[in-house]
Amino acid sequence: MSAAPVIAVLDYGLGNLASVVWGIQRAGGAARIVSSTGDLEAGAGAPDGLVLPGVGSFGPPAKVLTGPLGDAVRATAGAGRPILGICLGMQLLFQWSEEDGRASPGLGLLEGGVRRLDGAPRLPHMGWNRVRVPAEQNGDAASAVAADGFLESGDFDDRHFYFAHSYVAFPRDSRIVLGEVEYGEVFPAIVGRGNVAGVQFHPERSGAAGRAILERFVTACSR
Amino acid sequence: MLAKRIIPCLDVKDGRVVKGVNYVNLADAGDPAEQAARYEEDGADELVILDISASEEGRQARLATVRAVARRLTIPLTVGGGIRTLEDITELLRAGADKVSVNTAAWRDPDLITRGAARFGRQCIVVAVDARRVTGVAGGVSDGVSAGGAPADRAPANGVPTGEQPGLWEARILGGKESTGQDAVVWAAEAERRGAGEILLTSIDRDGTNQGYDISLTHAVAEAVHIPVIASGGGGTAAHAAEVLTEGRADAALYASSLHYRKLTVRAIKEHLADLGIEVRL
Repeated sequence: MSAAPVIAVLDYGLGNLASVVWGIQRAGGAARIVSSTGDLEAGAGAPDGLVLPGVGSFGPPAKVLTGPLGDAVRATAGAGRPILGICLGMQLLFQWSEEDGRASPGLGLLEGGVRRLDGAPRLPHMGWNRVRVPAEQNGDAASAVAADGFLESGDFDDRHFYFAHSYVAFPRDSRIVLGEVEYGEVFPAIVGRGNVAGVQFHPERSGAAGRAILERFVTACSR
Repeated sequence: MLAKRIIPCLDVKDGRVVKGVNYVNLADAGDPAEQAARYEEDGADELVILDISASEEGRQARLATVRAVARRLTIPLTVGGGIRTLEDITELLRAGADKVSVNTAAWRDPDLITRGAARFGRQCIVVAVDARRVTGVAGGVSDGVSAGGAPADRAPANGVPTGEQPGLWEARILGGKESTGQDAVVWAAEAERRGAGEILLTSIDRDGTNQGYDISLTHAVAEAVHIPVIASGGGGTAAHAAEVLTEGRADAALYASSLHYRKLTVRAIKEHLADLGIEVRL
């Protein structure tokens, strides 16, 4: 047995990191809160994977990530280490968000942008909702994209997860949408391409179903 | 489809769970972390911890209790009681709370809602509205008013409100002890405008009675706001949840004493809802 993989949890100076840290620990990872580029640099002390947590609005963390820290996150992705964006952290993976009244740039690891949820009866979208694999994922090309990542559709298809958000990310390439959910409109709940994945819900607060997602991520980080 | 939520509430004082019957006559009923774990196993969708002594005595909800409960849970945790400042909110979120519930401080300093939402996102900020019926028009004379022996602060003896925003319910603060003079529905709508992400709406009249939620109060608030509404106060049977989640238009139903005494389980409530075709997480 090898030691538990070290999972870096990026701290942009906001919110509740404790839940994410405990979630990673329950899934078998060794969580380490990091806030500087040095913490992510390649080498013997480099983490095996990275979580972008997130509650709050897009602007402040996006600003933190415009500098060298953003470069370090992109380098981590480029090195093939698994990255999981949670809620706002998933949105930060994309190119832009309209949340603060104008287009703020994100990390650009995935192509597409973030906009407000349309047609919802109440916002935030708060509570447990059922995630489904999109019908179009049955196509061969799409399945190839989905199979390329570390998340498994059997872990999330037709299960409830806990959501708490008003904005949603829309990828340019719909084939990277691994799971979708409906609230006012149908939108991506899980995206993934290669070693980069994002979930719009909070796996650390989604009971056994959420734990399965985190375990899959921790396993990918152990490779 | 978004599932309706069933949320157990633990009233905590000095690190122990206490029951609440109309906010008085408290008795010890268990360890918060143990109860939290039991509720999660039973299918709870979220958990609320209210430190009911905090508003009265100026005490902060205890961080050690919050940490112990939050660490054990894999469902969301909301903590309320005695929160006054942005620092209080920060501390509780760092201890592992996912949301904070603000009542008295939000009324006295509504900008706290705005600042909390700006910093942590509105989904973190729950505004607790404690409402008491001030007229006997729809649904009979309130138990709270008659039992308390005094009419609402801003209502004359005949129970008709005198404010510019007449309504059936007044918002109260300090654990129900003090009137705000404001219509509870109007206050809930203002809380939304100021940045609240959710309303935790408690009927003081029904609280601890197990006689069912105040459906017309819940409906009035749910119609007035565009954020989720958690109905609280009076939940005693599974049928009560069904009623408040459909007729009352609530998004979630909170249960306290009926679950503590094990008269009822979360699973039984949710199975009843599922039988009625109401979407729940089972």
